[in-house]
Amino acid sequence: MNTKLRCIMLIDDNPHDNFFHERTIKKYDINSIVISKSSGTEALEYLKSQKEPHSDLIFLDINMPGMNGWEFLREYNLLDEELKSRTIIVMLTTSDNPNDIAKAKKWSVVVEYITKPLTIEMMQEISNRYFIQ
Amino acid sequence: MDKKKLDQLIIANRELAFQNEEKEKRAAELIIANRELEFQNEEKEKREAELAIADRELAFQTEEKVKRAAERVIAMKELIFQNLEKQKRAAELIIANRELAFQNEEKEKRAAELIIANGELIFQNEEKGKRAAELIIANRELAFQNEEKEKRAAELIVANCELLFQNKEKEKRAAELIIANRELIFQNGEKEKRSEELSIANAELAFQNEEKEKRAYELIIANWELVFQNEEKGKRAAELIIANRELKFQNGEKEKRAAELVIANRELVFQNEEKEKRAAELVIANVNLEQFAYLASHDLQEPLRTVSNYMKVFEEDYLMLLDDKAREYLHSVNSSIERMSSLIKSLLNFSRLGADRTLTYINCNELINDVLADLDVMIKTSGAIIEVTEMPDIMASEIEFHQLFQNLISNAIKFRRKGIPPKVQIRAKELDKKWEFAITDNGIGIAPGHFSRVFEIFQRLSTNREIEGNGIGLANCKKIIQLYEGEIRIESKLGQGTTFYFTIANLII
Repeated sequence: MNTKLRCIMLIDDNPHDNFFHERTIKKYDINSIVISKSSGTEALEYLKSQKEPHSDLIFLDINMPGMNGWEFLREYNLLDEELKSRTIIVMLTTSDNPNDIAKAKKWSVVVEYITKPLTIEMMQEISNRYFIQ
Repeated sequence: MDKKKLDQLIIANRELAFQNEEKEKRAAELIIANRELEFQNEEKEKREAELAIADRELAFQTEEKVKRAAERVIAMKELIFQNLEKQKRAAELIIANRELAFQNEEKEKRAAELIIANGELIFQNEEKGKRAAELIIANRELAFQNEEKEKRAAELIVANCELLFQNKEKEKRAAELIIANRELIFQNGEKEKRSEELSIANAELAFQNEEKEKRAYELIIANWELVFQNEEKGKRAAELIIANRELKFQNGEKEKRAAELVIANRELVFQNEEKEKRAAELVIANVNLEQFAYLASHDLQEPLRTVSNYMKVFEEDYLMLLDDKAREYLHSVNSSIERMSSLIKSLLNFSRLGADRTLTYINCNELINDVLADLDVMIKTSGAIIEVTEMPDIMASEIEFHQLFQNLISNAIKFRRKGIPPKVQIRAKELDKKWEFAITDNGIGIAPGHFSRVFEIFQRLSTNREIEGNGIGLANCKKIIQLYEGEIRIESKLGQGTTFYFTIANLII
């Protein structure tokens, strides 16, 4: 990605996790914009409406009531190519189940798979690897 | 124009007019005649048509006649044929008639002859009747004489037979007397010989008598013996009868016992089935329990992580606002959270064991080297000496065996005696279709009474303060070994050290 990491979307049904992750992201970069969504449906609505700011990075949980992470990915894949080309997805979940890890690898839009909690080091690494500093 | 000429012309005119009238009359007549002719013509045509019909009728009648004639010809021929036949028959009848007439004449002649012959025969008959009467009388006389003669002849034959028989008897008797005479002479000779022989035989018999007496005596003794034996046999028989009854009784008992055993057997079969059912239920229950353990530990982790995260927020953002006591409490909460987290992770790992059964070739020496590398800090800080002998290649899950060796080796180092650097020996040897591994330490040892308890989950022999641990390591080991149809056992002496032995099926043949 040839962009600067500016806006990050969190998709997690657990509001505490969203709070901690937002806090970590702000600690990493106080200027980051964080959009917290408590379900895949809400997140999709936001993405489809093409509201600004546009999210450069999505942290996606797997186990969520209603639409889970995998179902979100299926829906996300149907979105506009241009929109998708400006966004990367990182799985952020409690599950270190190898089955889930293998499953995530099958999705080309998913670039990383990390387990909770998100740390400043993880943020640093993702930013370095996928965005212009 | 002159008058003459004019007159002539008038006359000619008149003449022409007359002729014209005549011609007109004639024409009218011709028309009438013509009509008449046309009528006649029509009549003729009608007549022709009628004639044609009549003609056809005639033709048909003619055909009929021809047919009839043909039929008549055939009938005629038939009649002629029949006539001829009749004529033939008549001729034949005439011949037959003549024949019959001739035969009649012959028969009449014959009849006449027969009448004459008849008369003759009647006469002869009468004569014969007379003669017969005479003959009957003569016959009776003869029959009487005959009977008399026959009686006499029979008497003579009997007398004759008697004489003949007497004669033969006398001849036989004479012959017999001659033979008997000869026999007597011969017997006389024989008797003389025999008397000599008898005196010899007598001597012999006397000797034999003596022998027999001896023998009789022996026999009496033998008899006594037999009587004794008989009595013994009688006793024995009585004993056998008793023994027989005993055996019968025992037999009956055994049959009862067999019947009981059959029942017991059925009971056992039933119990076996029940046990199999129970085992199947246990397998299901076990799977359910593992599932439960996984879900429980997974779901427990979530709120615990939240608590832990908030604790971090406290530590990072609010520590300066707290006094020393509050900080100390916070620290206690933190260490409890860490401990709980570690327990839950262990439980999760334990419940996951056996979930992934991908077996690969593992070189145990390499595997143990990896484990030792992971335990590097522990080994260095404790000053442990680790000895590893030649290890086999096995078919197993690398993750499981890594965990197995790591738990056993770290336990061997962890439970060391104070002041004595730990020494750990790792060996393997091949048994029948199995590998037996042994991990020996020189640590604190385990009391024999605790051997089975150490493999139970969350069971710990030492308190937290002495040695770290969560009571799940050996439970994990046992579970892994059971997945490989193996066994784990302990040899230990308190204060001297412990050896953990475990076997696994050798899947590489």
